[in-house]
Amino acid sequence: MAQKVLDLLCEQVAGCETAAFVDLTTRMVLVTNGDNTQSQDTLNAMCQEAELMLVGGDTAMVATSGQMRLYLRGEAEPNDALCCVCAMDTNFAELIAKAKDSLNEISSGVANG
Amino acid sequence: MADNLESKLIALTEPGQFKAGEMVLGPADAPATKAALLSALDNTILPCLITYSVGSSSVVLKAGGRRLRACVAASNDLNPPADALGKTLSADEGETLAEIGSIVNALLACDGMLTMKREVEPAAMGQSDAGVGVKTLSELWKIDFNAKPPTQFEIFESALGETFIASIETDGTDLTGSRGDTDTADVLKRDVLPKLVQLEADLTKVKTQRDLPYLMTLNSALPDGALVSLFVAEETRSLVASAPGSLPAVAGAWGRV
Repeated sequence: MAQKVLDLLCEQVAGCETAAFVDLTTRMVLVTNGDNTQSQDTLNAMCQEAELMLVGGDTAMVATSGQMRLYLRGEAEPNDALCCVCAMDTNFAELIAKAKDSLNEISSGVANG
Repeated sequence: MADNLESKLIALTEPGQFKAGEMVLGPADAPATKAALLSALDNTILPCLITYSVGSSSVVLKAGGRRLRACVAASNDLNPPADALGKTLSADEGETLAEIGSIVNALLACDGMLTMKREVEPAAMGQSDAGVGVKTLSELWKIDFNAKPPTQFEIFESALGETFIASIETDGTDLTGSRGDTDTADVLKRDVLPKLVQLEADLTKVKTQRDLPYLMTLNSALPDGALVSLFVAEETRSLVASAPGSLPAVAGAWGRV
């Protein structure tokens, strides 16, 4: 299940509070981690932000005073993307590596079996 | 209990904020950072030891009552004259003050961020009138005490370390400064800035959290995969190019702001 992959990502990376798998063409959030506390409006806004920021690229970030948002585009399926909301003290190298693995796992369909 | 009270008094006199007992003053060679070094001495009331460091290089100064009292220690790479260390200072000690100035300026010439730690001086120094005020130090050490403090953007930029390639600063429309690789800075100004200003405008319609200042980073703005970060503050827009794959460094630098 895709949600288990996202749950595992949030468990493994301290500070990663939300992970959402989205479809960039339809701007739809397809699945989030189970403990996600973001509202649907916030998730939809993140989806739009991801679409705008990933034009022509595969990695983007928005950082504010209170949180950082990481956006990754799928390698095999460029319309797939992962949005992560994390705390300021998150280990970003670890987050990027594990988030890429999670995205590829879900995107390739391995996690849907 | 005395220690607690002293610690609280020191905290009350400190204008900045410490993280894990350490305060980042800024890039060591920046005029504002040098001014901040003097400011820290000027902000002392109770006797204390202040350790200034750039990487593994460091100087420990004893201060109190808004005056420098002594240079207690310095790392060997700064070539401290042995007779300058531990000597109680006064304005009459011109030679010693010049030697300590050389040590401090050698530290400020190091490549990296200047950090500061402050602790209560365990042995009270009594009511001696020894010591030298920062106005005198400013003249002797040729440090501009009135230099402005580093901006959040300058702190961010410096914290990128070796991943930094180039940057430009604007007041929203006009270029106000550029640093680093000149070719990249030209590309940032000519090609990237208009695109990211447009992206910023497009993002204003999206209701995600973006309190000022905020940072947007992407890997699509430069052809070689280098990262470009747009630093958005109230009245300025600044762009920084950093090495491909440097997003962890960018996130870490943002945490310093």
